[in-house]
Order: sequence, then structure tokens, then C-alpha cells
Amino acid sequence: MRSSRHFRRPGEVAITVDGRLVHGFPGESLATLLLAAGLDVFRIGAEGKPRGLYCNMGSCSECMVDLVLEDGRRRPMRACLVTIGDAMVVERRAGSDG
Amino acid sequence: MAECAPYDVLIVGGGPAGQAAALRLHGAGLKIGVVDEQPRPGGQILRQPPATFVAADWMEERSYRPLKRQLGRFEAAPDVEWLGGSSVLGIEPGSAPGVHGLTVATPEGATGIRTRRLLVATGCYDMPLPLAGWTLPGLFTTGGLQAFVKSQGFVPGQRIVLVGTHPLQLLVARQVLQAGGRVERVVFVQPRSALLRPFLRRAGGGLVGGNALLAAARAWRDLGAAGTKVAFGLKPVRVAGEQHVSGLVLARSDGTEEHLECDAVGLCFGFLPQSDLPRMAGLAMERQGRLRAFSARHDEWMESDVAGIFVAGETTGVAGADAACVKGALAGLGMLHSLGRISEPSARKEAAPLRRRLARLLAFADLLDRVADPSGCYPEVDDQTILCRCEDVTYGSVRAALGTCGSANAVKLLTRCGMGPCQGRNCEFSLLRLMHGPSRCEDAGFTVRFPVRPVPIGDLTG
Amino acid sequence: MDRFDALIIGGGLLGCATAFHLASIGASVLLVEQGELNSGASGQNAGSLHFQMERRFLENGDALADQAAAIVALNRSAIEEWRTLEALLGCDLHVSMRGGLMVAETPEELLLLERKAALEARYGLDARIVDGAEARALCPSLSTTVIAASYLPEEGHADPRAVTPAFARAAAARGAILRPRTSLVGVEREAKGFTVELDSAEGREKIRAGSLLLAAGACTGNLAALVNVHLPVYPVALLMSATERTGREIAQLIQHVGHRLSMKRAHAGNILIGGGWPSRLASAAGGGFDLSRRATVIADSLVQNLRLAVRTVPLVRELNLIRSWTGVTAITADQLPLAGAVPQVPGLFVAAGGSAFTLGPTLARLLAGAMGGRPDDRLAFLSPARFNHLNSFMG
Repeated sequence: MRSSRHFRRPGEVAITVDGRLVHGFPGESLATLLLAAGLDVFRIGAEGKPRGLYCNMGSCSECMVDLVLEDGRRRPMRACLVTIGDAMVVERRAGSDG
Repeated sequence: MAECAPYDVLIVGGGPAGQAAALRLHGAGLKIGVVDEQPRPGGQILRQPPATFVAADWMEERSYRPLKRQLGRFEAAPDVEWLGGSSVLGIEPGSAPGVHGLTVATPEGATGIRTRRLLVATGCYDMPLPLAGWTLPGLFTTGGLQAFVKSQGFVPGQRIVLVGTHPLQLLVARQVLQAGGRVERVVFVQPRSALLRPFLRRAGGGLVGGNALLAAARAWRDLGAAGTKVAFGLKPVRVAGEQHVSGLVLARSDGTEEHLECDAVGLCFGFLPQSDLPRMAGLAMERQGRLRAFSARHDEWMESDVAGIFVAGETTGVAGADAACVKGALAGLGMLHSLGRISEPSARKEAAPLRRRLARLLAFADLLDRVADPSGCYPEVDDQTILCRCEDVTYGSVRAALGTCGSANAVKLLTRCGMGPCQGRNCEFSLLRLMHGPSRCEDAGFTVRFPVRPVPIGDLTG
Repeated sequence: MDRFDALIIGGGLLGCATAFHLASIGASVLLVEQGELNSGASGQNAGSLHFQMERRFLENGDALADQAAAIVALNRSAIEEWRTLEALLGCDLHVSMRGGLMVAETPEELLLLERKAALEARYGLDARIVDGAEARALCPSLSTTVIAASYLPEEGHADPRAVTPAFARAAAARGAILRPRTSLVGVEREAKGFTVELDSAEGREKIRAGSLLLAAGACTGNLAALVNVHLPVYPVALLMSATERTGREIAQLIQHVGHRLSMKRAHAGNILIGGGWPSRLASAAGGGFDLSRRATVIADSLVQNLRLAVRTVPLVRELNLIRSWTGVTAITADQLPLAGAVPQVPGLFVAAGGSAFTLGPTLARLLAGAMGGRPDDRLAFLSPARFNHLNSFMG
């Protein structure tokens, strides 16, 4: 749940996550955007169970995602440390890629 | 990797300690840089909202005020270069005579940085606490959950349960409420008396720590008014859920279980110093507090046993933000003196009141450490429970390995425990606790390897 | 005083595998290791099973390359050894023999591949030279800059974390005694064998042994001083790196003939990158190297190594580096391993000097034979006797 008690957010932007558009607010962390959209599975563990973000401060690496750059290359990033930008393209690692 | 001219002082960590050091150093004509993984300064304690958000009444609690004032001065200091959004990957002490080298991943790629004096003020992180189901989405460290609330205005759950031994969870619960969220319950594993008695015994013993105590007391009162129950003497057994957290199972002292429905859990059992960089740099380490956590050893000027490398803040032992500020100021003074910018008598004179204040703050920190001591409060973990999150190594495989070898590194090699992207931050403490019990963890831990944070290889190769 | 037929110093692959083979033929064996079993180069290496000639043998002139080519015969034995090792030890060692490609990017490097192939053919190894397109058909992740590769279908990799412990367990099951955290502090030579002093947390203790094997990796040269001989074994600290796990496929062991590079996707899914880039050994105050202290990563080595990896297998740049580490191994004065009896000291054997993951199981089997009284000609060219001149005044 995004709270408006203490913050006023700028106008929405949309980024692409796993091929679909997800809305968020400029400046927000990618982790916030994903969790707010209910996309809280970051990978599938060896035991086949979904795995989520844990520390939200760059320490645990559980929120690793791939940013897809303009030239098609991927750049792995910790979602809790990424500030979203307009037209960003993101892929989670919740598929068979581990 | 590109390199620029050496800094006089490079500070790793833009939290209270790093800021205090920078503020003591600025104005002396030095080239000062501050590196931090976050885009904006503040550290975890004052993790700032994005600059694009308009914030009103942000972090209004009285105990944050001195920290906010310091942050304002830090951001206004014109001669302190802010290197945000950057991760220090490694330190090479004495990479050239009189200079220390760092490899830093910046938003533009990796770069080498050299500095004459280095301050490691990297703070602390929530002690990872394995229990059944702790890998499910919706299970957070309480610090991580708090960071969502205070820096993003985001409450990551509709019904939140906080559980642990540390009084911080009272403050976090209230911050969730203030943001419009709902906290089902705050659960302390220790009995109510273990939390209160040490504080009551100390009541009237001076003002140091008073603000923090008052904040906790106020938070408790507000939680009660909002209908959030604060419970004691319940031990977490497992986190329930298939795809996402659906509940938390707690054990009462009589052995019966209680199932609390919730969709988010925060674990709050204490904090560990971020020790990777000091360990990688080969600084002498010691064990600190009741957690016996690795912290960097230092002299009265916060200089480590490697000349020119200073340490301050929670990296030197978890003692709270006020103590971190004082340690940071001492480190700033120490570096100023070691760079020949202040005479020893002047430095000593200035340091004396700081040291007196630090002693009082450390006494309070010790009290808090005692109150929050998780010994005896750890969940029971069966062989199926994951100990190492990155590599999915279970307690069962680690227990089996411990039958044939006797060091953390050997367990790592046998089981892959600690071989994942977190470099052991998620599992080392639990492994050492399993090896030696809570009181006698004298193993040197995992050998810390480069890079201390994962980095895209393309960033390193340019 | 306890007496053993053989005392082995060093709990790495060579030591544990020799203990296994000796115990299997009924010898009483004690193995001591100053740290933990498998904590040295045997556990720290990147697990390549390289049966083509290593490029390091090619970079120091024709004479040394010709001499080193003799190792190809042992490599061929090692292929059979690795094919049967999991069955022998009864456990999964993550042995993967799905081929190896040593790549070339320039015409000069292709010439080097051809010269190497000719040397290998002399010893009966047939690595096939394929062009860039075929190399990429075999390994689609290879860069378009690769113009040719020598391909050996049997190459691959195994899990260094698993192999030595498996030998250790099997040795113990056959009666060998393995004692970690125990060091050798003194050796007295006797008419038939040695009296040896050991040190551990339980204190000092003397035992007797009929034969003594030094298989202590980089420490072997220093330990030889306890027996008053020179062994020309020099420590080297090599850099290795691991990416995060990936599902993207690299089936083969990838090496580069022109540059220091080896890569493979290991069992767990991490891509391991190495190839012989140096790290910095710690030096001792009075001179010499301090092997008790950690070697440090040389930043430039790391960047060069990673750049080569990206150039050869471009997908690597899209993965996180999660760990770089240093393994301290040893090389000898003529770059070939030392394995066999030390002529000046009856009963003293040595096994050290590199290539000991790929060749370790084979060397250990042949060495156990030699220690049991059945020397094997295949080890002759690795005999310490080739350095007899160093020990003319020792012994």
C-alpha cells in the first residue's frame, strides 16, 4: 500500500516488467514498484518455492533483477537500489533461469 | 577502469558517522568524498525519500531531530563530494605508498579510487534469523520493512506482524500505523520483565538514551491506542504460506501454538556490523556485544591497525546513531590530526568532551544490547530449514558437514553455505552460532572475497 | 610409538587419493593436514579437466614445450581415470566430460594450435582443429571473434569441493587414518623409515613410518627442509572468479591458446573464470613468502581476466561477479610436476607442482604403486631424480 500521509508523489510513469506495463512514481525504488504491483516473487529457490525480497538495503541480494538495456544487453541489479525511470525494462528471475 | 586524483579523505557510508566525520573535516581545504549505495545521504536511520517526492512531516519523532540537523549541515557542506548510488567492491590497503585503493561500482561503471585516508563507516544490518518459511515473499527484516515505510511511503503488507527481541520494533510498528498501515501484533520473544526491568532499574540515571526510551514508550502507548497488541513470551515457530506469507505460527511457553494470520512479517532480533570491508582489508577485528559480532578494532582516534584506515559508527560495534555521530566526529578529528591539520593538544582538547559523551552513550547501548539479547529466544530449526538463503543450504547439510570439519571456511567448501551473492552476510552469523553456541563463536568466519557486493561483469570490464 | 607403513603430509587431492590407494592394497596409512582437508589448492581450483596441453607449457619456448609434451601420455591415462572415478568412489563428483575447446582468435594463434596438436599427436592424443563456425556450433555462446579451436570431446570439469572429500571418505573406509589440524614439526631418518614428530591441539606426538610422502602443495618445498633436501617447488597464487548462477548454457571447458583463460559453467550453474592470472603472495618480514597469510587479488589481473572472458564468451558481461578468490598452488623449476621417490633419502616420496586436479587421481594411483614397491615407468619423467644436482650436497 502506498501511503500519502507524508509524501506527495510526482505524476506516474510506466515501466515494463516481464513484458507488461507497470505504473510507478519517478524516484521510487524498483523494489517498491514491484511489491506495490504484487510482483513479489524474485526467483524460484532450489526447492521450487518462490523467493522474495528480504533486507531492502542492498545487503542480501535476494531482490536481484535484470535491467534490459537499449541495446538488448542485460544488467543485473538489486531492485532495492534501483531508482525507476521512464520506459525502463525489467525482467525478474522467477522463471527457469533461476 | 578509470582513475581520478587521490582524495585526502574518502568516507564509505553517508550515515550519521560518515556525516559527522565529513563535517569535522570540511573547511580545511581537503578533497573529501563520501560513497554510499543509496542515492541520497542519511544512512539507514534517515533513509531519505526520493528527491522527486515532496515530503511533509517526515521523521518528526523528536529522537530524530539532532540527526536531521546534522544531515542538513552535511548536505549543505560545499566541499564534500557526494558519490551516491555507488558500491565499494573492495579495498586494497597500501596500494601505493601512503595511499589506499578502492574499487567502486558507480552508476557509470566500475572505477578505481585512491585516497590518503579512508574511513569505513558502513553501518550495520539486521541480523538474519533463520526459521521455517523465512524465505517466503512477505518475510522481511524489520529494518527493511521500515525502510519501505520511511523512505518510500510504502507499507509492504495489509496485515503486518513484527516479531523479535529488539525494542526498535515498537517504533517501526508505530511508523507503519502513522503511514496508514495495520500492524496485527508486535511480538517480543522475551518476557515483559526482561524488556522493562533493566530500563526501570536505570530510570533517573541521566538523560543519555532518554530520548530513545521516551520514543519507545510513546510508540507503545500509541500502539495500544490504535488497538495493536504488544505480546511477550511467544517464540516464532514457522512462517506459514505457499506462494506468500499467510501467517506466523508462535509457540507459547506452555508448548501450545498460536497461528496469527498476516501477509507480512518483520524479524527484529538485533543488528550486525557490516564487517566485509574491514575484513577484506585485513584490519584487526574483535567480537563485540552479546552477539559477539565482528567489529573493527581501533585506537582512541578510531584508526584501525592499518595506518590511514579509520573506522566509525556501527561498523565498530552496534551502539546507535548518537554514538555513531560521536565516533564519526572522533574519526574526523583523528584524520585531521593524522593529516597534520590540527595539533595533538588541540585535538585532545576537542576530543575530551566527545569521549565523555561517548562513554555515556556506550553505557546506554550496552543496556539496550542486554535488553534485546536474543540468546534463548532463537527459534528451533529443523534439518529442512534453510540456513544459507543464496545457495539453499539447509541446517541438515550444515549439521552433517560439522561432523567432519571444524571451520566456517571448510563448511562453506563442503556445503556451499556462504557461496552465493550475499558473500555470507545472510548465513555466517547463524553458522557460527550453530558451530559454537551463542557465547563462544571464535572462528574467524568466512574469508571475505572481492567483490563485497555483486557487480555486473560488464561494469568491471568497461 | 605407533608405526605406519606410510605417512602422508597434506590433505589435498594427491594426499587423500594416495592414502586411498595405499589403504586399498592393505598398507597402514596416516595422513596429516595442517589445516582442514581439501582447504588448499585441491579445493580452491576451478575444477578444469584439461587433457590438451596447457598453454602455459607453450609460452616459454620450444625446448620446454617439447619436454612438457610428455605429459600428454599421462593426460590420456587421466581421461580413463576420470571416466571411472565416480564408480570407483561410489559418489557423485559432478564429473562432466562434454568436451573442451581451446580457442584461437588470430592466424598466429591458429598456428600455435596446430603446433600444439602436432606435439600432442606424438603422444597419441587427437584434438581436432575446428573452424570458428564449427566451434560456435559446438558452443553457441562463443564469440564471433573465435576463428578456430582445438576440440577434445573428453575434456570438461569436475567439482573440486567433492573429489578430495570423496577420496578421504573412501580412504578412511579402508582403514587409513586422516588427521586434519595436525602439522609435521620434525623428521628423524632411521635405517628403515622415519620417526616423525607431529603437532596438534592434543599436543606433540611421535610416530614411526616406513615411507613418507610430502604432498603439501605450495608448502612442500619448505617441508622438504625437515628432511634436509631441496625440492624446487615454488608457490604461485592464482586468481579465479565465479559469476552468479545462470541458466545459460556453456557445455564445454573453454580455454584460449593465446591468452590466459579458462571458463566453464560448473555444476551449480556458476560460470568459473580463471586461466592463470596472478595474485600477490604475502611476503615475510625477513624475506621469502608467508604462506600462512592470504594472497591478495591484483585488480589489474582481475580486469584483464574478465575482459578475456567477455571477449570469448560475451554473455558473461551480463552476469554478476560474486566472488574472486586466490588459490595457492605450486610450480616446479621446469614446470612439470614432481612425483616419485627422492633418491637421496630412501623412503621419501614427493608429489607436488601443479596440474594436480586433472592429474591428481592418476598421479596418486601410480605413486601409491611406487610407494608399495611397484614403480611405474609412466612416472619416470616426473621423478625428482631430474633435480639430483640440487641435492648433491644434501640428504
